[in-house]
Amino acid sequence: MFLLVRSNLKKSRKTSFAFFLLLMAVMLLSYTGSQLTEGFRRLYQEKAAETNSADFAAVLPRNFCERYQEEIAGFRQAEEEILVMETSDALLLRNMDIQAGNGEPVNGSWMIRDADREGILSSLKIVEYMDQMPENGIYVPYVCRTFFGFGLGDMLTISSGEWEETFIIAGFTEDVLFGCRSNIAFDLPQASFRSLEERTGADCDAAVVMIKTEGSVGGLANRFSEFVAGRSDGEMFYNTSDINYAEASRSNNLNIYVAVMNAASFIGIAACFMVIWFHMRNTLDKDLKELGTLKAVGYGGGQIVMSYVLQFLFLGLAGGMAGIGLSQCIMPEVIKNIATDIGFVWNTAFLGRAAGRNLLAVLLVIGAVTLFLSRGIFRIRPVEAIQERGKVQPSGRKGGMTMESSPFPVNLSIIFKMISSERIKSILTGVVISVIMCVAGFAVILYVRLVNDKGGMLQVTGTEVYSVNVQPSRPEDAAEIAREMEREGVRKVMLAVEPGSSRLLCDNGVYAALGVYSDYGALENPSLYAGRYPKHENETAISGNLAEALGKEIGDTIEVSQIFQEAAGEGTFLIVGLTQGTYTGGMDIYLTMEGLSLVDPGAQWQTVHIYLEEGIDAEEYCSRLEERFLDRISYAGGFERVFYSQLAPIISSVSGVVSFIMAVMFLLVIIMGYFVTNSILLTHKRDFGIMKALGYSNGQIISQTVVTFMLYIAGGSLLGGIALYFGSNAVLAGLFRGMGVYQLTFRFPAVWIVVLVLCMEAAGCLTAFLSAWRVRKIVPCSLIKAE
Amino acid sequence: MERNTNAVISTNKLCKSYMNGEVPQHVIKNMDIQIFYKDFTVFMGPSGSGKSTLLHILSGMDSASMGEVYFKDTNFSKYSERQLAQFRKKNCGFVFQQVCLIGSMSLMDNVLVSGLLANRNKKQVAEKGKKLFAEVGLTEKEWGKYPSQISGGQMGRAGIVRALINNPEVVFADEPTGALDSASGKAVLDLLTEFNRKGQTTIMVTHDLKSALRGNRILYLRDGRINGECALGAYQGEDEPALEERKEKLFHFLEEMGW
Repeated sequence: MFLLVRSNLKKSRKTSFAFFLLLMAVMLLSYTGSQLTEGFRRLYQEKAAETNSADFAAVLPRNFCERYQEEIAGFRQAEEEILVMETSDALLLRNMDIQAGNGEPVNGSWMIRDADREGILSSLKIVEYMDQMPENGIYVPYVCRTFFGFGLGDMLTISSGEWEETFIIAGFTEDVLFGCRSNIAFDLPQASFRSLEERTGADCDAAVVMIKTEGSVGGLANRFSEFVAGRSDGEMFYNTSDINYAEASRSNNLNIYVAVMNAASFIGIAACFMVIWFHMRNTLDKDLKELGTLKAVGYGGGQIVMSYVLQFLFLGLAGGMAGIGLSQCIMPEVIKNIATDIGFVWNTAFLGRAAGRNLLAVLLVIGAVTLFLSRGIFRIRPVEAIQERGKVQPSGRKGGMTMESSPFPVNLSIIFKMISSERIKSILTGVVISVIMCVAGFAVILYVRLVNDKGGMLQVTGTEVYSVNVQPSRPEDAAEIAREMEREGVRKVMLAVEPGSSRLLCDNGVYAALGVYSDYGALENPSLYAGRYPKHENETAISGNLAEALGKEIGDTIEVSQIFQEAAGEGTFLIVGLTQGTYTGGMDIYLTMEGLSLVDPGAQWQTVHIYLEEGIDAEEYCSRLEERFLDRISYAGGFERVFYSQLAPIISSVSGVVSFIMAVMFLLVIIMGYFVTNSILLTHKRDFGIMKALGYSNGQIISQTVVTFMLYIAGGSLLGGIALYFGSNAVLAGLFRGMGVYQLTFRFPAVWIVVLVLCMEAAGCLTAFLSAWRVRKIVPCSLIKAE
Repeated sequence: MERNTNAVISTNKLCKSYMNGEVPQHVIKNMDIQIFYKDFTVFMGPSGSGKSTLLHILSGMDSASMGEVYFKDTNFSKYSERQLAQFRKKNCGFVFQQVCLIGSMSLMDNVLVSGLLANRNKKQVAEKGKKLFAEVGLTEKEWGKYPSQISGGQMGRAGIVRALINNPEVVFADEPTGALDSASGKAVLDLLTEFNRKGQTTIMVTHDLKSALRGNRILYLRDGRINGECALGAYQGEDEPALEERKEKLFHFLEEMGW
């Protein structure tokens, strides 16, 4: 048996090498996917354990915590599942910009904590630090290094209006709840923290309540929110984070990449099957005499079949292990490029169980497929095989197109005859190529719509992008300030309650991020995917995720209450539209200002969005605004540039994944080209010999072979193109669904897809040409003798 | 060697060698032969004498190791693959031992695949093909069939139609009856004889005495050389009174050659 396997491997070096490469690519993709999902899950659990992370944390005004200290303690006692509950001081700097080095400014709400705080939950974990702590040193989360590109020793400037503080980044920290891109906390040494606390004033004083529980985190979060809501009086900030949300927000992007990788690895497996199929077909044709001889000297069909099964299992094992090894080697680079928003130092470990499971599954399937495809060996009769009788020759089909009736030139007619004579092979090849085209085309669409055309990213995020964000010092002045801003250089002014700046309690205790716009019709990136925005006070548009959580749809009503405001009430709203987008986490509710007033009579516009005409610099415009409105506005900052700069790392990681997938797909096309061409040459060896004898030149025969494969690519591309045209948006929406995206209307990038098909054709053409080149060396009489 | 102007194909010190591992094997040795217009030349000889190799070289399917091969006045022994393909297309028709029809094409398509190489006028080629099919006794129903659907004799006849579709100067037949039963073999030989009678130059390689009787000139090869030649005159048919005499002459010649 060992001799048979060794002989098989020796006879088919190129096939073995190609199969090895394919399996390597399959396992590289599959194991990288496992590393990204299971590895991340394991890493997250490790980090949570290392830092003894709280399961839930709420950021509240410090005076609220002081006032209700005893009741908070009572809450802790009432909740038997709570293991530990701690409160520590923090500063909440709302609507501020941060900027490090020469980086783009990032806008948001930043929390600063005391690095020397006492307590056992979510302890400070510094993973990279300067040798000496500078006087104005600050510790920032590790995500600032990987996602925003900050470095040790960089200057970090936190600014809002005229207030500005500059620190030196002295270290990077890991924090489960407040160390991800959507929830960031900086840590200052105690002296600096207290000094800053005095300068920022009581408005920024906050407390972080951290809880570790052995029960359901979601239930605890809801009960704590209700507890806070029942005691809030007047406007107060309330921000929460929990261990499940923090994990999901870190892994959302990874899950999309892993889905694409898994799809690519499935295609790789399909290509492996094609290789086995071609190989066994060719073997039954080319080595028929040898197989007959083996049977004649006493080998059983089962033994011969087993030698082929073992051959492919051995190659699969070797290729798979190489792929796993390669994946392990490149993981640091993969993580660096596509796992930028994880926020942890990720030193990859070998996932033996995942690797073994994936490899075993692939090998089992390969074994079964080889067994099935080599079943023809059982039917071989020694005498017939030694005399090479009963060889399968391509046969014609009655009713097919004749040369006489064919409208094509003779060479093309011969190609069509060749293709139609091997219908199953042609269909299978076309299908595999169409699937390759689908994945490659899908990667191209991702690139075109998310990287090349920023409009696509807007559609996914659902963010309304405007030029300048202005916050009045007194909310009641917002409308007047907006009126005054409608002057030269300004295209449009919109009043808004910034989506996500406050929350409403909906049915079933579900919280949603509130958004209100003064003119929904004027939105430049409406995030609606069904129905319309609210026009009347009793109407609302809610996000698809919220609708799913509540089990509601357009036409249903929803109960909404504002529990964090004094004298707030409840209202019932008719759902008239569904929205989507990842920007606020996918749980949004949109009302009119009149509608919001029903649940919160004291509600005011919070921000003014300014849309500048093209060519006007937002930063200059903000400076002029600050000079003009002085203390009437508390903040004015450019939004568009900040928004796009925040997307840069995501765009970069999408580019990386797309390049990786494209490389694998092109490799698959090249391997397919090699095998299909070889198969054509072998199956039609006799026919080509006859044709050569009749006067067909090498060029004609090579071009027939090359064009045949190009037609397979063209046919597969057409099928793949149709599938992409009708299905790409649905598949993309499916991938982003977990992040709150339900329907995408990306324009089909026909030119890009045509370029992709041409590139695939070129790669296939070159491979087929090189494979078919050896026809030149064969003299016609020897081809005929091959019969 | 001075070339005979009546020769359609001639060779000058033709040699063909193969490498058998590291040992050179000389299959054709310094051979000078001439094939004349309208002749039915038959190559005979024991296995390994080089007759099939010679046929392949004369038809431009294989190239000589040394020496020259002329078609009329043109030396094609140094032709490139592309030029040889052009040469075969224009001047040669082939009848193979296994007939060698393309399995995925009907008989008519097999003929057209050859005919359309030389003449792109599909209608003309198809008309000529139909005429030839009629001449060899294949009906419209039969020429629409695929090789796997017809008998060996019908395949042989279709092979002859394909060989003649381009009006070749020479038809090369390599053991044309080797894979056929006696009735089918006879039908193929009758057709080759008939077309030769109409002026078609034919070269045939055979082991079969009955087949060899159809030739008017027999060349006997042994160890890569022409060992002897026998002129039989034109074949007049099975009813010819001199058939026995013809047989006698051939047997005698072959006996002399050590057959």
